[in-house]
Amino acid sequence: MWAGRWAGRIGPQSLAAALGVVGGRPDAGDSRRASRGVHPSGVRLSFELKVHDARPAHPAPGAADQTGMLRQAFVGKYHQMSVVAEIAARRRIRNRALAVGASVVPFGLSFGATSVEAHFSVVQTCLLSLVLFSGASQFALVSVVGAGGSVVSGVSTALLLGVRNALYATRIAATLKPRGWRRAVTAQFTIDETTAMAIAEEDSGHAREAFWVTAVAVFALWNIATLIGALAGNALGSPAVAGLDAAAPAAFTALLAPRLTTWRLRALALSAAGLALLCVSFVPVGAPILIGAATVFAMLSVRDR
Amino acid sequence: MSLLVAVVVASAGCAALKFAGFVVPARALDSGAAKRVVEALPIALLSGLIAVSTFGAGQHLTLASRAAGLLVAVLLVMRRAPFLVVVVAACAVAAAVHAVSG
Repeated sequence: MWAGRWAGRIGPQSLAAALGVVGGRPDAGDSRRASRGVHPSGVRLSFELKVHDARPAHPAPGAADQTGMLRQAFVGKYHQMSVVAEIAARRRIRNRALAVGASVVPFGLSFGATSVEAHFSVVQTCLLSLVLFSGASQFALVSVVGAGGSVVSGVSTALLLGVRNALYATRIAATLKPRGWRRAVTAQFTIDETTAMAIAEEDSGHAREAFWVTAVAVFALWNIATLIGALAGNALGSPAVAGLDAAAPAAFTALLAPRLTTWRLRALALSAAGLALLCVSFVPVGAPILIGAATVFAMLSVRDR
Repeated sequence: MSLLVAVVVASAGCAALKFAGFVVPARALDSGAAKRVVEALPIALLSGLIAVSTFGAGQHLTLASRAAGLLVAVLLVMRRAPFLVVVVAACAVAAAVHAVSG
């Protein structure tokens, strides 16, 4: 099921799948079917109905009447169910947002620790989480600078990783439609997690709620985790002894995996990594990653089958 | 000082990139070759970062305990383990290998 869902998809959809937030969507061929409608009060509904529960397993004489009665009973309960469905949807969104928020805690802790190991101060580390607020870019910056790379290559890597947020922002702009100054505030919170949560919702009201609940959960937990990680990183000794030097590669692996949805993208990942390793001895630290990223342009000439 | 400059420039640049998606027409980024590049960039950058942060040591290649951590991370990610499990297991294995290999 997962493989089929991921096939041919990259970007926020696959992230949504990775975060497990598309699970609420009905699957074709599933025994459950989503029913959607507009309640007389104008509240849009989106709920799932177990079809086999409402249908007799063995059609008996008069089965059509029975089904009709069941349908009438269902319509009678329509109003009640709409409220129940709305509460259930909010609870589902809140629970997922909390789960997504919790998932950034270990990442934040390892970022904080890695950042102070790279000689960023605790304040600078917290500034990155507060203002830059994009995990992969932050981790890339401190990872490159910490390895001895120049500030220019560290910042370049962070900015190139941040380009995808611009693509997410086009989707969020179309879904949430913020106006005026709200665009700037929404932009700050447009990241992998919030985008994945928002686009997993079909209802625009739910999408807005999913975006903001996730934004608050992730922002709060990410910054608290960064601070604790930074303070703990100061206290921990050599990164190799605590195994902290494995945190960055492991974190990057977890961020990368859900994006490798096609063989073309897997080949791209391998060639970028290979090219970067080949350059390590010949160019300044930090530059191999940027050179490896140039394989993206080679990929453009290869068509997906 | 230069680190503070890095923090400020990277933060401002990333904020500008996020905001750009709200002001440029969606089709400028969300179609054709531009979209393919934008979606492929993180893949190339992340895999480069994985390779170099695991096997690089300055301008040399090395096989350190963190390679064992990466191996564990890859295996766990393929089994769709949660982020916490992946990172903690990778760090624990790397620390254990480091302790054993001295």
